[in-house]
Amino acid sequence: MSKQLQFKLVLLGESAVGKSSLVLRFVKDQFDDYRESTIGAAFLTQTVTLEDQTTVKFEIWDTAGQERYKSLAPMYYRNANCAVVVYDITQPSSLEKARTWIRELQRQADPSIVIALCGNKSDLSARRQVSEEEAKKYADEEGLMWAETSAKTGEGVTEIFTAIAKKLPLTAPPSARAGAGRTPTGARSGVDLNKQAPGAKGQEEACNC
Amino acid sequence: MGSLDEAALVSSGEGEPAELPPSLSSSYNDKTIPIDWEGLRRRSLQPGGFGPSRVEIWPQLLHVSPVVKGEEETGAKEEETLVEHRDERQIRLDTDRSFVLYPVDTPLDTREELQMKLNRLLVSVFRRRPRLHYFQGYHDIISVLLLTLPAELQFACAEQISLHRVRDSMGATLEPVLGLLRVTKNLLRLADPEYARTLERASPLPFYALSNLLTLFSHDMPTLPLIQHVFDYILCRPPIIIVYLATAIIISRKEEIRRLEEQDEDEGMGMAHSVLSSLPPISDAKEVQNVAGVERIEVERGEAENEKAVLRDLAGLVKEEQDNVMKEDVEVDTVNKAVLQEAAEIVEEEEASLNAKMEDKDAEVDEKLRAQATAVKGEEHPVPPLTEDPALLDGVKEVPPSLSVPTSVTPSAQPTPSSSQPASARLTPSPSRRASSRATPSPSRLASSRPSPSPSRFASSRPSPSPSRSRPTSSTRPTPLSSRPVSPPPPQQPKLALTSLLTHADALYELYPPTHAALALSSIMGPQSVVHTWSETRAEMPGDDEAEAMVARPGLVVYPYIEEDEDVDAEEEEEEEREEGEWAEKSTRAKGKGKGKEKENGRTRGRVRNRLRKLRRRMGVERKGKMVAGAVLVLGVAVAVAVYGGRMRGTHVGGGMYGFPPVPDHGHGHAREWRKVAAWVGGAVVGVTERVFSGLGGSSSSAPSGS
Repeated sequence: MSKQLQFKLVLLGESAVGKSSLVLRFVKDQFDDYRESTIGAAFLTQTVTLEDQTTVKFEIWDTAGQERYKSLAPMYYRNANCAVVVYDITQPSSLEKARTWIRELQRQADPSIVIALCGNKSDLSARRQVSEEEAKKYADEEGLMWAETSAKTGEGVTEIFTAIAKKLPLTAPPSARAGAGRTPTGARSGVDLNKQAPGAKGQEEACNC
Repeated sequence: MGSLDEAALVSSGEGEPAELPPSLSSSYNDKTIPIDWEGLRRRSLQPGGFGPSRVEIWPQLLHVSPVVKGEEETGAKEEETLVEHRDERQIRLDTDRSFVLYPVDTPLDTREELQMKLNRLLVSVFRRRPRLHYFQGYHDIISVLLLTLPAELQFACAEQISLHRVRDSMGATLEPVLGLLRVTKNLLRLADPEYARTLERASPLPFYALSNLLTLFSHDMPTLPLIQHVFDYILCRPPIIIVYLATAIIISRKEEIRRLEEQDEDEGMGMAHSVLSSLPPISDAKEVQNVAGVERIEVERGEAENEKAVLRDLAGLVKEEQDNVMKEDVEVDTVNKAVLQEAAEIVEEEEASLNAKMEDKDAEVDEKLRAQATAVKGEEHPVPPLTEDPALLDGVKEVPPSLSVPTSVTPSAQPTPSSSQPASARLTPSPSRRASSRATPSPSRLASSRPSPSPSRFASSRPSPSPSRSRPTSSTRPTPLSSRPVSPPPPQQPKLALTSLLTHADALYELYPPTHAALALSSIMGPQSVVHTWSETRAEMPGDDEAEAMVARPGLVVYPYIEEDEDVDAEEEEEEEREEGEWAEKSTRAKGKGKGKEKENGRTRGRVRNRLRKLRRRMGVERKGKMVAGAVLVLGVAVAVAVYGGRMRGTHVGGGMYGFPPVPDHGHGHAREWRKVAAWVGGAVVGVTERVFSGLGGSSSSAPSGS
């Protein structure tokens, strides 16, 4: 019997770097030249099947990029098993923003969260402002997955999500595995997950004794 | 353009040209043009809303007077002279991808040109009002104005709508709109406690309504005519109405959410969010070219009086249609003409007969009216026969209009009887819903078919959307689960009549007015929120500069969310207790083990003490904050009672529920009294709070934003 796993994924990154486009490419294999801004957050799901017939279902929360929506983000990354932090290779400031998000995730999110740094708009390499080396170096230092993608051409999109899927079952806590059988509502499993991983607190206690 | 009462409503301030100020900042007209608020409210409930005359009505409702010729482009000129606004980069990012929602394909403007115009308009508003903050979605609101109003009125209307209706969201943070989400949650609890519980399990606050509340529905309405009609509805009502409309929409999705629950969805919160953050397929009777919509609306309205209004509108509609047909003589279909003529006659007849029987309000009128509506429909657009069960129609009629919830549900799928509403409040299927048979296995998954309007006949309408114009949440809802076959969208997804949603929102407002204690509006939103500062009378609202300054004091727009604080405190205290217990245990153990351990013990004790002290200090500050908040709350309640108490003396549905009847001077004067009191109390609150806050603030004296 093949395994079925289910994971929450959150997309973060500066405004207009292509978060929604990336998801649209991944989920529907489509691209819109004009993609209106996301307000609040959008939810989508997509399933990938790995070589060993394991299916991984992503529950994707696509967040709004504008700074003022930042305060909503914890709600979406709190229970997330993985995060894709997106920047735009033509906008150096977007990599800075990505670093900020990654720092926040490392501080606030579940310690086992898998983080992928994703340089989008690789089709615009003529206008490139962020070198592959720079981003890759940073990703290595922080122990992140890294890839460049183009939601427009589709380059690298499925690959990065599949790579995340492969990495996940090894690192995520068992409670995240939905199993092949019947599951209660996702909301509840999300709560369980949350309670199961009180990372910061645990560490604090450890050093208290 | 043809509707019966239009001439009366629109007759505007041509009488005072001398008063027209040349400067934009005072472009509203203080010599109040008498606005027939009640008449407009009734009209906004009818198919098509204000129609083309919204071009004149919106500026009036926004207290913008017609601008003298030659004054246009002032905003654009100023743009060059004023300092760049900090949000201009973000504005550019958003305008560069705007006009996706309302497809614009007119020969006059390419999308790029419109984007440029939108960008200029936004930039001029923010340079002119530098304290305002831009938020993603604001551009959607302004794009509706841009697509509706003539160039010379766009800036003034954008400025006014920003300062006096959208202002709460134009501060630095999301807090105010989160406040509105809390009010929405409270309203949901009142309107349908059981459903509210279901929803709160999925999401503690109705975050899915965020975009609707922030953008006045402009981010999500699928077509321009629909959002224009929604704006017709909103602009002639107090700003808080958006909470009622958002709630009516959420309630209309009840069936889908119930089905989601039954499906044992793994995604839970996600799917609910996905369904609820998109709008259901909505149609406006006028837009769909299907008079069946009229019938639907008319079923929602119980009172003969209202039905008469519908008929009147129908007459107007038919007449307008006639006018249109006359104008577009080139392609006139003579048969069509004859049909319209006939329809007009029938409507006239019916109106006359209704007039005669108005007092009785008997079923006969109702019956006949319905039959008539069917007749009109049948003649104009032959449609498949409806199942017209007179018994059921009678049943519908008995339901108070305020309580018939416009859900697009099948009759069998009615809400559970455990709802705490009175028996008469049961949702009752309107026959029109049964008209379109639902072969939908799971609409929630298939709702991807957006209402694609047939090209509307009106000048303001836009061509139907291109298929690529899919919206994120809805388009992706039919999740391409590899294991799950994706069924094609149902051929005829039943659409919800916009008018029934609007009517339902009005009914909710009447049942649970802003003063309703359980809504807690006055303890959630502060005295400087638009829900408290807005008025039908321009003179009673804050001035433009004053309004602009209000965004800098978020603590007076929305009160701090106390409940959450307390939760956190309780948690921390618990943790502290546990730690203290541990410490006690350790210390006993340490004592038993002799002096060697005393040092360590002391260290532990010191650490705990430190933490306690830190915690106390923090909580002490918070307690003070709460005290202030409490004081503000009391005053806030007073303001709300003053503001809304005056307004709530209205008569009945569609009558004066939002205020006083426009005519009697006496009543108006009374309202003014109330407003004065409110304004005074509001001022006192502001003064007192500012003083207290600055006293508390200490080092950071400037901003009382610590709330």
